Amino acid sequence: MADSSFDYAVHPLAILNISDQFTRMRVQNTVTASPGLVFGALLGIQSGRRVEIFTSFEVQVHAPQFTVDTELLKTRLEQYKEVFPEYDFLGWYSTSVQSPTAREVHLHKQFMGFNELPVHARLDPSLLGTKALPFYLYESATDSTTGELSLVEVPVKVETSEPERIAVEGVTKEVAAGAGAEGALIQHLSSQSSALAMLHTRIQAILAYVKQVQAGALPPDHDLLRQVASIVHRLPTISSPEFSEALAKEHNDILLAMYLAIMTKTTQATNQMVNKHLQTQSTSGAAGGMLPGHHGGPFGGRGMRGFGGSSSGGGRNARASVMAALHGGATPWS
Amino acid sequence: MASSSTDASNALKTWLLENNVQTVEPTDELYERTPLPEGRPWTKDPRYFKKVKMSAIALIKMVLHARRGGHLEVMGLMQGKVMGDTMVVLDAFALPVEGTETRVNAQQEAFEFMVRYQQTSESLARVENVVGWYHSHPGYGCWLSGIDVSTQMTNQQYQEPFLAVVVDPNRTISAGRVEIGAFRTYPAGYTPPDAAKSEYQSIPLSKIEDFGVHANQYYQLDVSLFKSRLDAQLLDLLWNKHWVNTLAQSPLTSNKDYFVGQMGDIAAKLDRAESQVQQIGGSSGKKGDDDADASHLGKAARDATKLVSETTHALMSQVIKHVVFNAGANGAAGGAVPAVAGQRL
Repeated sequence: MADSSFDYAVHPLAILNISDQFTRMRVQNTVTASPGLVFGALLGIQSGRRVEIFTSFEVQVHAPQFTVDTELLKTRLEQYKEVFPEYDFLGWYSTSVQSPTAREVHLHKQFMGFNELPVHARLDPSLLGTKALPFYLYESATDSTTGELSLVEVPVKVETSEPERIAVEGVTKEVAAGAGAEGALIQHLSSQSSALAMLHTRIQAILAYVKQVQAGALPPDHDLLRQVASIVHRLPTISSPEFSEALAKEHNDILLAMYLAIMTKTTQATNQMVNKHLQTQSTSGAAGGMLPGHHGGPFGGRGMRGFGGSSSGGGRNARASVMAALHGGATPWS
Repeated sequence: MASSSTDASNALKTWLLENNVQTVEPTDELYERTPLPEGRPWTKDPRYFKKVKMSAIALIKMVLHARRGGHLEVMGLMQGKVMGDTMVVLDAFALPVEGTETRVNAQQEAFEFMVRYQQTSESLARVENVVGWYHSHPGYGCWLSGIDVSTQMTNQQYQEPFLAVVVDPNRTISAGRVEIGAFRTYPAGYTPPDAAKSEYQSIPLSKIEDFGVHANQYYQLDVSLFKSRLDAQLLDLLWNKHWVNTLAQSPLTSNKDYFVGQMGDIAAKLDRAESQVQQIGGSSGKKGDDDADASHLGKAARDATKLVSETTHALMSQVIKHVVFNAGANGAAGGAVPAVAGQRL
């Protein structure tokens, strides 16, 4: 794998789209240029040296010469541009089980009309079930003497945005809809814990490697060790007093909001209790007082009416302060 | 690295078990071409369709499109087919239309684009027809507004079988799971036999009337997701790559607008509650237990609880991260946050 001067990233949607097209082809027995092969375009954003592939769509390739239906590609591209004007044509993909050959170079040249330096992505469906993601990316390279075009494999990262992560996770585990607060908490914590477990196993692997090197069982790879050192030096990630203050502030904001929510709930409970009490009072009061001891007490009938009625008693003040606090509580967030 | 992938697969298996998901082997049959059922059975029974099956890419496309719209409502169409009482959504595409509030109604332009897109799809060997439309309700939940109801009614008259789907991108981020609803309207003049109360959902004060008036004109369908065998394998492998994001992202920062907006809404509901509570108190409360959740105060309390539990989840992740990545800073890892917080309180 060659180092590239570009920084490539791909989003899950682009890869899943290829898989969808492949499944469709298999199940519906669509005729393609070559059995088991599907082709498509990669769309995304290139800014400076960073190339990010967001999505993809299929392209028709005609047998036997492997000619790309450029008219159709142009039409579809324009349709995408109408909705997502920021997306550009970045390259093309196919589902091939082997590294690029002359056929791929031939196809690659046809896509150069849409982008001077297109990339080629390859998904190998036969390798699924193994450990690595069988998704490979190739850059075009021109031999400086012969002027011949070739495809060179380059590293690519998988990236997800927040909504994409949630959607992908939702599909992966198919979260039961309508789960209550408890379910949500368990779900949240379990996804955190499995992510931490992943981190942990990775650190374990690094640790095992460093120990082996220390013991002399493995030859030291200086490049790798430098990378390890740079990770270690990054801890603690942030330790400035400003950060602690900001974190504490956020922490307190949320605690305050929680406090207010509890007060709102309590107010509601109190209100319900008062209403129920008033109901029993109004019926039983006429029958001669079924709760005689309560009449004179602080929670007796008269005191109750004052609570909810004309005078602004303690209850109303409490509510007013909740509301004032809620109004105020919103400010530190914005 | 071998141990790490076993770990991932274990975590995945636990989830699959807990959530009772079968990677239905016959999922692949959902991709087959199926002709429309004969005799248009949905014209006889207003509740003929009961379930929706949605493919992974359709869901992801809709959520991403909705989130991209920000505060604006966006809309698009879904392609798929019908199998018995189930509507299968295989793919979705966005329309070049954006609206504000509940005014997603750009029939003409949208229709033109749809025809063009559908033609291209056919030449690309995509055989599925349009089976419905989706649009977003950023921040105010999944239900149909008055305009949505009339749009859907027209569609069900002329483009049957047709489905309406609503996605809320803001709540999706906030709750950490996809907030989506699928609906079909009843024919005009039809009164549902069981006006069953739908599950409570928090709706902003400004929309409550719109929601209440039309709530009996449509019903909700059960949405489930499916993935092909290839998708399932890919998703497993992708998890190996994107677990980092679970740690890296924080809804507290990415969804701050929504949280603040919800705060304001709860405050407004409390304002209303104040006058309502006074009335009830004065006229020896006629409202019983049934109305506990319907009163303004009850709604405010429920919304507040929901909002706070979500923000608390987000805070928990922040604290976890602080402990894991900044532990060395103060020597004592666990004590760092509570100590600072306590001091400021």
